[in-house]
Amino acid sequence: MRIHQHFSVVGFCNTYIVGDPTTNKAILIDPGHADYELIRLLEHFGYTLEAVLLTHRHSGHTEGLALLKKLYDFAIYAYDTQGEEDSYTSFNVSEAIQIGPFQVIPHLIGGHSQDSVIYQIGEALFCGDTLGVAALGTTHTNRLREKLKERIIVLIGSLNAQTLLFPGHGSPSTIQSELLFNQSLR
Amino acid sequence: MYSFTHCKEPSCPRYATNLSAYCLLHDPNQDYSSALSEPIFDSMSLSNLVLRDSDLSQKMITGSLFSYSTFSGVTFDKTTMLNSNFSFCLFERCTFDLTSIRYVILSGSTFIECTFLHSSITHTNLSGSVFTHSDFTGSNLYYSSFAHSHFNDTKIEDCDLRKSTFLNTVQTNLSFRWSNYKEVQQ
Repeated sequence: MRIHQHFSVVGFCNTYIVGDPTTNKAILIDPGHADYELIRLLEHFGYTLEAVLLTHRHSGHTEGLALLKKLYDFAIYAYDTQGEEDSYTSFNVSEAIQIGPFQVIPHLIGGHSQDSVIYQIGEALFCGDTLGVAALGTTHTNRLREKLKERIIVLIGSLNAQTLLFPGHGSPSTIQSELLFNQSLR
Repeated sequence: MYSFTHCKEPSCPRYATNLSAYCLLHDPNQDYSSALSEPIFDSMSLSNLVLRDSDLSQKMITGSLFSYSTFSGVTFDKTTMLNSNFSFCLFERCTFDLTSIRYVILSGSTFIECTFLHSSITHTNLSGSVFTHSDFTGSNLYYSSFAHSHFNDTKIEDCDLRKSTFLNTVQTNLSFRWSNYKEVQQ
């Protein structure tokens, strides 16, 4: 499994490409902005885009979808709270989905937005805006913040401390680092 | 991306290297010197490495794991580090001058008498690190996190600090001269 990062200056969002070097199949997470660099990354490694995963549907994380749809044929996975999006592939929370060679486990976290999901692929978590380095995602209310904190602690507490965290904004981290240095989780 | 294969020694919590089924502590005779002489370290897994007075300048280090390692008197000048994990390492008298470091986890590390002159250290996780007699003069620290870090006699002068985080830091004789420190999240 290879993980590539792309930083979008639109919304300062991190987009991730998870590629399999054997089959050249890839998953893209949070296309905040599809620009030349992102397309070049996909083409340079000869990836076939199997799916796009949305950690939540805020525009800063989804605006690149329109262009990607024109270029590639792929499934879109997002937690659809209202069931209004026919174009999305539905999934059951916490049940593994097989996308090409990747086993993806979606964990519904909420807090930052109702549809906030953390995707677990191997020993990597793609957190979107629920968790960042030394910070918890923003929420509308303190009650939501407490719920978010509780759900994150339960999730990361059940996983290997060396698991990598890839947030929607900022730098990557590990569960061990966040448990030690993220005051929001105490 | 490095693999998460555990050391074959029963109850050993460390990761195996990419050269053996064991970690460096349980198979210390692994010949990693030839791997380290290559110009590109791709998906290399060498946790708990101890390296003294070595030249790792002008390398390309990508998707590699070096957590819990000790680097003493190692030169990383003009090296590119991308998407790698150097968390909880000890760096003594190391130079990172003119380096390009992106999406790297350096959290929980200790830096003693290290220089990062005129480097680009962006989207990098340095939270919970300890810096003593270190110098970042002339570097771009865009979107890097120093949360919960300790600084002793350290210079962050003439640096670009946009979107960098210095939350909950302990600063003893830390100089931000000529840096845009008002843009820092304190």
